[in-house]
Amino acid sequence: MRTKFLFLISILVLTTVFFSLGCKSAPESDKMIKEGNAKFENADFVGAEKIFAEVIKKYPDNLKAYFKFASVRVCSNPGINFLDELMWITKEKPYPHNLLEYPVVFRRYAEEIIKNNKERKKELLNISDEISAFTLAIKKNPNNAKLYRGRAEWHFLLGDKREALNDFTKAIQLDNNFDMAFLMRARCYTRNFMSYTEHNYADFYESDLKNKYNIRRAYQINPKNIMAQTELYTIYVKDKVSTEEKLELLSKIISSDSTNWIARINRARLLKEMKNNKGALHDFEQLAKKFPEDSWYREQLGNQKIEMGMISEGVKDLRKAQTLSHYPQQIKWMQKEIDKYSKHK
Amino acid sequence: MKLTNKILLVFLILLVLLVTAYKIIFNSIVELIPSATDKKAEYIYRMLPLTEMPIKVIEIKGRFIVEFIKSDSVLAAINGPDNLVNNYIVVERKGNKMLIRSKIDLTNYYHPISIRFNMKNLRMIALSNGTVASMEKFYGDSLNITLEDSTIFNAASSKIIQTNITCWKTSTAMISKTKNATVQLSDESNLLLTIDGGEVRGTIGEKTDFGLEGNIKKKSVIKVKGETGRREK
Repeated sequence: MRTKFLFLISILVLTTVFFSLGCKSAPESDKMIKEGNAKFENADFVGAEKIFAEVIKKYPDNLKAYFKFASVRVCSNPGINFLDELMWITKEKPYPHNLLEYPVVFRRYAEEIIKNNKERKKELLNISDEISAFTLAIKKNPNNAKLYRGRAEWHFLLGDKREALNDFTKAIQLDNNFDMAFLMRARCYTRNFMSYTEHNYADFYESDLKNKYNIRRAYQINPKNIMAQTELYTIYVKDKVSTEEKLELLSKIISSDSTNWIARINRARLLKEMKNNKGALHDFEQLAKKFPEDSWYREQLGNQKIEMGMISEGVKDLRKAQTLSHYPQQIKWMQKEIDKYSKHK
Repeated sequence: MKLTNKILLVFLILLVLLVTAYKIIFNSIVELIPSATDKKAEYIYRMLPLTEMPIKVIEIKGRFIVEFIKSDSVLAAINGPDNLVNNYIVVERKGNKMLIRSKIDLTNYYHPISIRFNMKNLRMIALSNGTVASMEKFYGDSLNITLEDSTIFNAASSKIIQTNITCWKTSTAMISKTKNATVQLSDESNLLLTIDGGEVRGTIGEKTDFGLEGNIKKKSVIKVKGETGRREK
């Protein structure tokens, strides 16, 4: 009897020790997250960011902390692209992140894939936690546009168009110069984000116009916003705007932000189309200078030079591009050109 | 046969007759309204009488897709499923004003109904009930635009000297370009305006969004708390 009693006691003690050791890290991280949450609720984004960064450093497997960190980052740096930031923050995580890699998730699709995957369920639960945290913070700070934008981003990630739209609109109402809120509201109006109930052509037409409105507003507020620049140019292409107008926009973009290389590529192509060889050559030269290891830019530069009669220089560039290229087809094609113009010479 | 039985029999016959009559009338109404989700429909063009007298004022009420195109020839047509266009779209003319409205709510209809106007000049456009409209390359001295109930209006590549814009109830408008403009925005409405060397004035509500670009000489737009007032009907 006594030995039985001792045996039971020892099992009880061992179990307690085991659990206390095993769960040692959880309460501490939870405590830190709580502390961060309190700062977040009081709109102290910098303070909260520091705490969540520390949690990630100490407990790299705590997915919740990554989501919290993303929520805070979007408030402390309103100019960032939330989805890019979230993917960057969680890229080292061992969890599958397909849900985050395809940000415009239709709810039905998301629910289907989540059904059979515990990790994804965890992600979804964390997202709803984030939405609740934002709601609490909004209650305390009802005039903070950044908080509305943050909540809208999570709704957007889940494919909840109506909620996302409401929150982005509220953020815009509170801060008329919030370019990222305009841009994300524009994304809510893209065709692949339309719900199943919107099927009339008038709905599509309306969405297209609203998308255009929001992109134009974002660009107007911040002409240096690369996302706004790119999306505005896409609208110009889609609307079949005249070449002159497209060129005017691209030149404006490049003069306000010389690091927008996509705009420079588009301008070089456009100038080539317009037979403005000098202008095209200048842009291709800039691109080849910026990306010396890229075969495509070097090849374009070579072709442009050949077109302008600078054959030996053009052939030289094509040879350089050949050495940089990893694609046999491209190398073969360039060889043909080199042979053709070497004979010509 | 007893009197009570006779009364009961007459009552029953009357009831059967009434139910049959109601069913016939009700069915005939139901059959006339085309199904919102019916994807098979025959499209027709209904030409509108524009040539008798020049139209200067156009009022449209309903979920239509409207296009205003500057043209020397005058033409207006409604394009849509025959049943809807023939039975449910009302066109009224009073002097130089034309009103087009829908008897039923077109929001959930799969088939769009589009209206196209080719005309030289216009003085006023009033759109309501979710109309989606666009205007291209329109030149004129003055234009009054009134938008209501979630309507969308896009005037691209236009050149107008004086534009007066009123937006109510979450309407959205993009106007480019106008020399001078008077604006009145209310109820979460949005307006993006491109001014071409002139001035802009007006009042906007606190929940509205107003974007201004272009070459602006003078700006006197007042943001008011609450709403900017109601349109007198």
